[in-house]
Amino acid sequence: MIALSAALVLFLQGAPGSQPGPEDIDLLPRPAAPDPEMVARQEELQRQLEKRRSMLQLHQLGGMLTLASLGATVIFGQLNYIDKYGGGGDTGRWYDWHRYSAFVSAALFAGTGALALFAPSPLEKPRRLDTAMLHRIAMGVATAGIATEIVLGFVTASKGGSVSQRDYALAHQIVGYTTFGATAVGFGVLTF
Amino acid sequence: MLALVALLLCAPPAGQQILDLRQGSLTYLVVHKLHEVRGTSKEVEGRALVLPDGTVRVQVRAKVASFDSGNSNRDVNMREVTHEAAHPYTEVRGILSGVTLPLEGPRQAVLHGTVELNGEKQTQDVPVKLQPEDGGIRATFTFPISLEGFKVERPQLFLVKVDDRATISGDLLFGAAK
Repeated sequence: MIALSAALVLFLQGAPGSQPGPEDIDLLPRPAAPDPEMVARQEELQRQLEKRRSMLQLHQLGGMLTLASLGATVIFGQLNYIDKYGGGGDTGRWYDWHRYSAFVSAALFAGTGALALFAPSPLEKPRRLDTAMLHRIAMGVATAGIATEIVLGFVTASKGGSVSQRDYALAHQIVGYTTFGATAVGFGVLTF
Repeated sequence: MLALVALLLCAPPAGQQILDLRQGSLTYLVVHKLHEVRGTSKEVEGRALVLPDGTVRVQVRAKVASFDSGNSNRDVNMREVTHEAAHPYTEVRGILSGVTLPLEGPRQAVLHGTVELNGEKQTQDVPVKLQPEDGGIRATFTFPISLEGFKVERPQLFLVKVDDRATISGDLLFGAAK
């Protein structure tokens, strides 16, 4: 502090030599220069942050693909439901479309989630209700929905010929729309 | 004895006045196709030295980590692209001319200064509005910067980068140093 004040006073009183530019004058105390150990920590931190960003950019790409595939799965599921229970003649025309799009969605969902879960998080973040937290909550609901859908999907398929199959299919349909809605909210909330 | 020496050294020469930042905020605005992001820091440090000839030397800075955009993930991204680990502060310093104290009323001035971000320095003329307030001076300003000019890799959302042009604004209240 004394050295800083002395330097400031000497400057103000007109030190010999050339006039320093504004960028040469420190009115505030200079932050301490980092020691080698701190520099090493900074470099490691920066590496972790860059890895994190790469993973989260892939997570964004995966999120778009997941939302699109979930949308397709919901549409094919609805068409399959109408075909089977809505007077469509039970042709099974949409069954495989729904089935395979569901597999793709589940795989994309899991991969996309893993990218976020395993991305390094070297900086402490405050826990509070912000858009990042809303995204996590929405995706938590969607994850529960996906898990339920996988189970319900297989159970529903196994009830072929049973009267209860329609009830399982309806539950599968409702959970499917909820899962898609939660995913869409999780996706959309990041745009605000 | 040491305290006395410090006191004597700290006292500015006659006719000069040191103003310290009492409170203030710095805000950045970046624009993405889908939305705008504002990050604000209220943890701002600043000091101004008013010389008898009306020249004012100013230094204002904030820790990059102190900016809050309302989304913790986004704040971490901002810290990464500005290499906050190596360059923890962003800073504006420069010179205003023709300012005599006490200010008699609101006036405009131009700060000829240097902006530092991401360890890069750029000269910048910043229009500043000055007005007397609470026995001190309130300074407000807004100026554009180019993110790539400061070698900041522009963050992206949904594969779309934010605009290169960002806007920095500040609202700072200076008062006589205690």
